[in-house]
Order: sequence, then C-alpha cells, then structure tokens
Amino acid sequence: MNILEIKNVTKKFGDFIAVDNMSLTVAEGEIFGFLGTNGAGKSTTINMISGLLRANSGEIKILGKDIHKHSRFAKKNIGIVPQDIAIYEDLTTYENVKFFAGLYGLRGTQLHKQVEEALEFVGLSDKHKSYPKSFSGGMKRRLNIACAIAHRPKLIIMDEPTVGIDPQSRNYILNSVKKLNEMGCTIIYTSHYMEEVEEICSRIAIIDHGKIIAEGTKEQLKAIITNTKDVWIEIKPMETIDLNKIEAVSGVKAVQMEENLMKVSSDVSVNNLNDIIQCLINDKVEIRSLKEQSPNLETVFLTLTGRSLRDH
Amino acid sequence: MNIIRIAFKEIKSDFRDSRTLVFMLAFPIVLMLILGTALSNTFNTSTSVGEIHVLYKDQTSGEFSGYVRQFMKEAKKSALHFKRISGQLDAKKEVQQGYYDGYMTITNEQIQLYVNDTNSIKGSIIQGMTAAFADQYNIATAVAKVKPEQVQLLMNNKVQNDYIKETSLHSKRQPGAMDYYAIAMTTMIALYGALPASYLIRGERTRKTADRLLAAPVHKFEIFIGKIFGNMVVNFLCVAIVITFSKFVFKAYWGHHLALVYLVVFTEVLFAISLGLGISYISRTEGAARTILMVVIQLASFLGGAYFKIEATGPMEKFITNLSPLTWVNTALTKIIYLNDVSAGSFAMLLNVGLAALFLLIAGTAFTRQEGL
Repeated sequence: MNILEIKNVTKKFGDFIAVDNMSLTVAEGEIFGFLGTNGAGKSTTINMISGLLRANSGEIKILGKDIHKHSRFAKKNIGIVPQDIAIYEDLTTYENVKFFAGLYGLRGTQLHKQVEEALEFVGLSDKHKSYPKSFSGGMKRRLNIACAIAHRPKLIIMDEPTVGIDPQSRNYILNSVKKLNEMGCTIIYTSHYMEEVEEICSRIAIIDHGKIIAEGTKEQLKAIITNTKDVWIEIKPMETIDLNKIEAVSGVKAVQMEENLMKVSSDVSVNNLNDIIQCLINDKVEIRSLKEQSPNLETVFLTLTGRSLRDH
Repeated sequence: MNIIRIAFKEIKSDFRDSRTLVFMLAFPIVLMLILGTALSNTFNTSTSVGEIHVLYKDQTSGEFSGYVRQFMKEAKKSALHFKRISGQLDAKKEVQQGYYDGYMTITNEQIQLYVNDTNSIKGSIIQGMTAAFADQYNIATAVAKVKPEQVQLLMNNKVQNDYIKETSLHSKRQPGAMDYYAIAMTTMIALYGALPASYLIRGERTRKTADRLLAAPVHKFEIFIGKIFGNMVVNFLCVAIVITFSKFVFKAYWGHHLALVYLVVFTEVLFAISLGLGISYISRTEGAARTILMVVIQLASFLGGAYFKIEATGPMEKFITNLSPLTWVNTALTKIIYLNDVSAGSFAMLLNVGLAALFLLIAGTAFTRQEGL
C-alpha cells in the first residue's frame, strides 16, 4: 500500500512555481531518498506533505486519505525531523519530547512510556533533566529526532538530519534511520550527502526546478546514465583552467572543478581522453594524476541536473 | 487541552527565563524603591509649623481679662505660647527680627496684632485663632444683652478648642511617594508586557519550532490562544507579585477594593499583550516591532506620570496625557484606592478591553491570512 501519494501537485509563490505538477508515490516500508539542490522544490514538497503549506492544485494523500480533509489523521501519522533543530532550549530533554508528543493526544502513562522509549532510541535516556543548551550539535540532532518519533508515526520525514554533526553522531543517526525502518516506519530522507542516500535509501527521486526528473532504485537511476564515464584529473594547485574548452571537447557531458581536482563526465562511446589531455597541455596545465570511475549517484545527479548536489 | 498544554509550556519557559524575572519583577520593585524614596518630599503635603511664640501686652480689666487668660491657656494646647512683654523690650522689633512670631496688644475694646510676613503660616495661625476668640467674645457680648446668665456658659463651657480644622476637597488620604510609585510602576510594567508579547508568535518562527508545532495535529488558533493565555498568566502573576510586594514590604496603600484593582490591571495586561501582538504583525521585522513598542511605551510612561507626576492643567495638555494608557489606568486606580469610587474603573477597563480587541483582531486577521505561524 502507498503511504504517500502526490498527484499533479503545483505550488506557486507569486509568479514563482516552486513545485510544478508533481506526482509521486511512496510505498509503506520504504526509505525514500529525496534529492535536489537548494531551491529545487524539496522543502516546499515536504512542507505540503506535512500540512504546513497548501498546494495550489493537485492532491496529497496519506494512507489513502486526503491530508486536508483528514488533517488530524494525516498529521498523527507523520513525524517531522526538520532541517533546523526545532527544540526549546528552556525545556529539559524530557520536557521537550513530552510537550511535542502531548500535542499528538498522548496522555498519562502512555505519554511517559513513549517519551522514555523515544529518548532511549536516540540514546539520550540518561539526559532527562539536561537542558539542550549544554548539548553538542549531534545530541541536539538526536533530540530533534526524538521529538518527531515519540508519537510513533508511520511516516517520518527527515530533512537533512545529519547537517553539521560529527561522524560518530552521523553514523548513530543513519543506524537509527535503518532501525526505525526495520520497526515498520516509512522514511522520506533528504540529504546533501549523496553517500548517505546511496547507503540507506531503497528508492530515490531527483527533483529539479519543481519537477521530478528521475525516480527509482539506485540501480535504475544509474542505468539512466550508463553511457556516462567519469575521469578525475588532478592538476597542479592554483592552475587556472578554461572549463569551457574542456566542455567543448567531443563527448563531454559535464565538467566540475573541486579545488585542484577536475571531474569530466563523458559519453562512454566517445574516446576523448586524448583530446581532454591535449586541451590541458595546450593551456600549459600540469597534470598530476588521472583516474577513471564508474558512475555513482553523484554522477547521476550531476548528469541529470547539470549541478552538484552541494552547489548553492 | 492543547491550548492549556501550550499555555503551560509558555508559563514554564517564561518563569525559567531570568531576564523575564529581572525585568518584570526586580525592575519595577527597584524603581519603586528608588523613586518612592528619592522623591518622597515632593509628595509630602503636610508642613511642620512647630511652636508659635507671641508677645502680648494685656491692658484688659474685669471679666474680659479672665476670658483672655482662658484663651491663652487653651491656645497653649495648640503649641501657641503667649509671653507677657516686659517693660524695656521692643516687641515689634523682636517680631521683625524673627525672635517672636507675633505681638498682640489686648484692651477691653480691641485686640491689635502685629505679625511677621516672612512666616505667613505662623502669622495666619495666630490671626485665625485670635479672630476666632474675638468672634466668640462678640457673640457673648451680644448674648449678654439678651440673656446675661448664658454668657458664662458660652465662654466657660463652650470654650472653642478646635481653632484649626482640616478640610480637604478630595479624600482624607492622599498618596505618598511610595503609594504613587507603587501604582505607577505596576501599571508601567504591565504595559512593558507588550515587548515580550511582540515576540510571542515570531519567536516560534525564529526558534524554528513553528513548523514542528504546525505539523502536529493542533489548530493554528489553539497555538495562538494558548500562547496568549500563557503570556497573560505570566504577566499578570508578575504584576500581582509586584502589587503584593509593594503592599507588604513598602507598605504602599492599595485601598479596600483590591479585587477591583487587580481586575483593572488585568485588563491592562490584556491590552499590553494585544498591543505587542498587533504591532508584531503590522511591522515587517522583529527590530521594527521592538522599536515602535519602545517608543510607544516610553511616551506612554512619560505622559502617564510613571517617572514623575504630571499635572496637566490646560485642555491640550490634558488631551495629550490622556492618550497614554497609563493615564487612564492610573487615574482609575487612584480613584478606586483613594476615593473608594468603584465605578471609576469601568472607563479604563472598557478602553483596555476595546483596544485589546482591536489589536487582537489585527493580529488574528494577519495570522489567519498567512501560511504558517
């Protein structure tokens, strides 16, 4: 059964179309990766699913019910982990989770039990009486998650839950996502870290300019761009390169520069490596190393959108 | 239930915020103490006159001489001391140089009084008492012509000993400095409640908790009402603590209608919160809202006599001071406390509630129209 159905949804802010006639389904039990650059329409879509924004047209259903006609039902079944940490610094850890869970209608011992479980789940059960202001970024992120799961939602939307935290906390959160999924929760996961999405998501949608431009499993997405190969060329630091010249080389689909590392995505059927190297030699660029790589999700994204996920 | 939950969270957060406690409790109490003590003389309506010394030359004889002695004896009870002049003393010069407050020559036909104008209060007292005695004697003389047997009764038994009678146009009790500033600081701090109120809903957006609240199965208006309700409880409790503290520690007088005083202040708290919310929705940024409110509150405090008493006499002055919410609230409270005028609160309460409704309408309309909080 589909836990989420988005059908021909459009959202405009004045003349700007943030989400353009989008249709999407998420099945129960999935970890659904939602990828897009900033301003692609990701957050607007998430806000519409969680009932914070109303679509101009189209319909959104949670467990088969329209989210506006059955607003309370929909909201009770959704848990939001917002990108920004949304907790009260003047409430203790326990009070924060209790307050938000209480808004979902939980009372008395049931409320206490579920709050305890949520804190246990995120590894903050020993921090009941602590105030979040004394927490590290990772701990705050975990509390942010606890506030979203204490009412046991069926669909959890996680918007960049690992931004700005240490690797240890990131691993903890990623494992938590997997564990929640094993417990029966459906997860919609957005991240700028492609490797995270690649690691945990069973299905992925790529959104660009308010439209879903690709959707499927990792393998299905990679299959879209199997005709692409990546070449990584390490050059001498501080060298200046005219990327337009490289892009003009036959078969080149995209060129991206990260410090002194240049990534050239080309059509596999075209043998253009010599031309690329020649181009660099002509420009008197010193090549340090060269490596060819098979496509990954990052390549898929770059190929489809023409931009890196972390480009702003 | 969600309204209560949100209100309770608001109360808990506010009372944990040391800035709230300092601003809403310590600030008015300290100001009350400083202004009430420093400006105590400005509010002191009584003047200490001290003892009055009068030189006299008694040239009376017969029955009248006895009445004069009796008058002097009675006057001594009011700290008016008569001293018979000795032969070589220049009485007028003594008065002129301030050694004595008056000089009186008494004959059977008339009393002549010489006082020093530089101390008009003492002079007036001597003059008043002497005039009262003379009037009494004149009455006795008139009575003697008709019923001589009643004269003795009039002069001996009905000796006038209430020469000075206090009469006030207003109430018997007038506010002292501490009484005045207890009211002024309480109502001023209630108005300052507009500042945190301007951050009430905006704060959820700044804190990023707005989306989480709205994602919960809670109606927008439950959040709106819950937050206002919580803030009202906090502000009213703070104001009530300030009133209680001033009453029992500073011994400020709050009259016999304390419940009505609380009710008037409660409507002011409602007005202040609504003002803060209304302004926060009218202005674009948090900074703009705060600036507008600070200007409004400072002007209202100044015109409402929060820092020093303003006596508006002209119609324009009265009009301007009446624009301050503190003027109408302070006037109402003063009348309730010092004149026992329980109806005086109605106008202030009506204005507070009416304006609160207006600002809440502005905030509520903007709140409904926009997506999110």
